Amino acid sequence: MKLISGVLFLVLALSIAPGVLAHEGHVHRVMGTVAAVNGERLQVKATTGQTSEIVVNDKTKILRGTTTQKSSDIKPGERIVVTMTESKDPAGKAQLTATEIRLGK
Amino acid sequence: MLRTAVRVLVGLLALVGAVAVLVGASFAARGISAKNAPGRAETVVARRLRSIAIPRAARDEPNPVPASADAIREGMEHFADHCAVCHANDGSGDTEMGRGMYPRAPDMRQPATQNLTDGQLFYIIENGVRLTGMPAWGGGSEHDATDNWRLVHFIRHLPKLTPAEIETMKTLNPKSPEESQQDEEMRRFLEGGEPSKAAPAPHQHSHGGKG
Repeated sequence: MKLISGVLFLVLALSIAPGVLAHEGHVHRVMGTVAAVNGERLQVKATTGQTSEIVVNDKTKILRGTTTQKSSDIKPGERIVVTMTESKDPAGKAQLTATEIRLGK
Repeated sequence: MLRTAVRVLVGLLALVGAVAVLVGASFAARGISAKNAPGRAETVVARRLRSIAIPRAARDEPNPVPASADAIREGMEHFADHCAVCHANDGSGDTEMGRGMYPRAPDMRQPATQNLTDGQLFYIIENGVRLTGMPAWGGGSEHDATDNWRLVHFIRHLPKLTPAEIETMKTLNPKSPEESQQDEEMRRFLEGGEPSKAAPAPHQHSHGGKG
């Protein structure tokens, strides 16, 4: 009987709808200069000329060399390489979120 | 007596039917997709089952490799080469592979992993975990076992990992020639060099994970 109730418990657990988490897509990288920075929003002008708007959050790792930096340390005009993931915001709009930012030395 | 037996049989059949309906409903709703993370209840049950499945003798086995800076460093090098592609160098599981697995690669800095015994960690590394992305790394040799016990030391070190150690690990991660070229290009660019024509374009894929 314990086995049966165990199996039932497992199946119930499998059947409960999991929390819906946005699936993050591929990892991307952009290299260029900081066009603008405004709180959580960062604009990067890539070396190819294209400008991307990227979200910076508290999980974003920001480095200058091996030294950890804050988002307030990012200054317009400086060289930057951003590693980011693409996902959808709550409204369904595509959004780039930085996972790692490397700033010029 | 016969009546009781019939009642038990009917009860069992009803239970099997209910189970079949629930399994069917689950697959109808979600199919075999790995997109959504497992729910809390499923995670609790799966971890409990994993714990039960590890033999007591294995669970209680002490780490035969003495803890030392060398053991942690060798574990770190091994982890960067073999494990970080899914688990990330910092053990967060925040990689392209780890985020897409069902179940997700765990954040090994958290109590759910750190509270496992050395023996449990070693058993999982050696034997893998069925129906997850965790492969069995035990090759049966003493050399493999020693490497895996060193990994256990390194997993214990993960919550204290320093940014400098993560940078060292990045140099040890397996990379394709293209990724190595991109990393070199990035380093040169950040130091003031001019970008070459081979510079990574915006949104170009990279397979490196966080940390």
